[in-house]
Amino acid sequence: MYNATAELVREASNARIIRVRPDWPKRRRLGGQYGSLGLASAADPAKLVKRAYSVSSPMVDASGALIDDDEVDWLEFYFNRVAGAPDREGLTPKLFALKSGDRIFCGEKITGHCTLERVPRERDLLLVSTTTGEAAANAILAQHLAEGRPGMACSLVLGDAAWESLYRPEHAALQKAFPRARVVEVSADDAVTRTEAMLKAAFADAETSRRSFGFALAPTKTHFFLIGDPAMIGAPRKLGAWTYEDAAGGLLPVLAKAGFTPATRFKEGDIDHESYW
Amino acid sequence: MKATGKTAVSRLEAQRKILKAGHFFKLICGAGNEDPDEVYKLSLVYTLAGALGIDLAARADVVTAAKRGVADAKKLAPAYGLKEFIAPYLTVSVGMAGDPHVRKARILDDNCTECNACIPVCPTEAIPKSLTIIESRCIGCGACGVACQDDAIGYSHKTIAMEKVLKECIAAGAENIELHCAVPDHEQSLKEWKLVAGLLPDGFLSVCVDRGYLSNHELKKRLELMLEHARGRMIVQADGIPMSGGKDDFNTTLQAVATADIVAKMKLPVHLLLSGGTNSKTVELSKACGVPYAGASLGTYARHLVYEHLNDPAFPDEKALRPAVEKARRLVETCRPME
Repeated sequence: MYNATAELVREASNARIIRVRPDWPKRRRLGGQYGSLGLASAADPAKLVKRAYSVSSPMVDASGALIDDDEVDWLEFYFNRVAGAPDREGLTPKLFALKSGDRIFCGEKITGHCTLERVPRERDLLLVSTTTGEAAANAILAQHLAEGRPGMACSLVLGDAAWESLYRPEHAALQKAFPRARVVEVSADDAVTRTEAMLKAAFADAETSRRSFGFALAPTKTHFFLIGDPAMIGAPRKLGAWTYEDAAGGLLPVLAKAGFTPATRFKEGDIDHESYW
Repeated sequence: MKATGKTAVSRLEAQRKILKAGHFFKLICGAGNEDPDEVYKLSLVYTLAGALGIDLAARADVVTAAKRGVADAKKLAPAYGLKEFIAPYLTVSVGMAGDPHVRKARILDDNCTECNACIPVCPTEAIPKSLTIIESRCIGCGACGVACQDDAIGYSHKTIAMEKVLKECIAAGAENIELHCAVPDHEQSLKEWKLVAGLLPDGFLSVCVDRGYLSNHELKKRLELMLEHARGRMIVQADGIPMSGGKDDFNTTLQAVATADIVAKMKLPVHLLLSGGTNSKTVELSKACGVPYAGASLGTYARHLVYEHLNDPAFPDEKALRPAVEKARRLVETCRPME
């Protein structure tokens, strides 16, 4: 049933970074893609309780050198306890109880469309993520740098007032080694509202934008990734085939007003988004 | 009603000329698309855009919906600047168990992690939030299975009484039949092909094949066997990666051209259509690679190009119809003969 071994990298009361060494040969993946993890169900130990998780990336080692994903035999995952998030059979608490050396199920298929695949190389990136969504943002940022893309990149990681990213040491090393990369934590109970205000100010004044993110925001030059809490993203709600209801809040309407358009599998655009907790 | 008589023969000859000239643009509504309302809208738009073929699910009500779209387009043709109106040839698609075009996806609850990744990648919006796939909308493309990280997508073949259904479709106005037989078994494929050939003695027969199961050698063998029953009226739809369209770039259409190239090198007396990941770059790439073609069959890309207008509540009023026709026309015009 289990096909991988867990290793605890770092933890805080509400978050954990775990590396999973699969028994199977690791395949190449793109930053922003996700896999699945599973543990035995309490109700039926012969069955697995599984859930999708974005693959994260530490991005750099302690010296600031980029980590080559082809050269490591693990996949990294980042878990946050999020109040009110759906959680099948309490998988997240079980993941918080894992110890190094424990066995775990890790799905062999890593997939997902919220990636750099269709983003022109020269684009500046603005990644906005909430808590666990930072996993995907880290992986995308690592790929951006590893591919030597010339654009600037800024990752805004949002959480409540008590939250802080477990990746702070890596963020510091990354910014030291790569001046064109920036990571900004927005820890506040109204983090989404603050981010909205930052974006509006940046759209209004290029110099403000450069101070906040390192570059000026423009539809032809910037690509957005919005990853995490659906309320932060503000994607239209699907009612039925081809029927959607606009969201009341979130960042998508703000970006749309500034001339950005969401990308889909079928349509080019300058915003990729993926909702999860 | 069998397609016989002077009109039918001249339609057949006209189609042959179009195929030989290399500008047979076929809109694929989807072998699994059983939504007559959507088929009507697509047929209306693409007929006005100048498409010469429309590919449909094998259902009489779907064929009737397409006929209605074509008839309405004929009335509007002068207003849309269509100088010479040619009613598109209606093809109905049937398939064998195992071929992706005629399968239906379903979500396996035991495996599903409810990550919802399948929802936005579905080209036909067949997956609602409830995660129960709407069968009439599912075209079996497998995009949900690709997005699913945990093998929670299963497929089943929709069995139909082929002979009865095809007779109904022909009576409703179908002029061509396409058999999807991307399966390893020659014998069974040939059996179905003979049935199809017998049902439509005066129309073009199309076989849609990809290379998922067949080596180049076996592909040639299959086509040669089929040709014996459809000499002079056989279309081969070379399916690069079945139903993989969506993006408008050369990479997406590469396998469509590559598969056509393999068939072209067999030097068989067939008309060759490009499909399976086709877009506005397909014919350009085929020309650049020197791969001969009778035309191009476009599905996912062509449909998505106009969906926003088709789903406008104003459709088919002018303000929604005209921009759809303009976009579709630009796409149809990419299908030009090789110089």
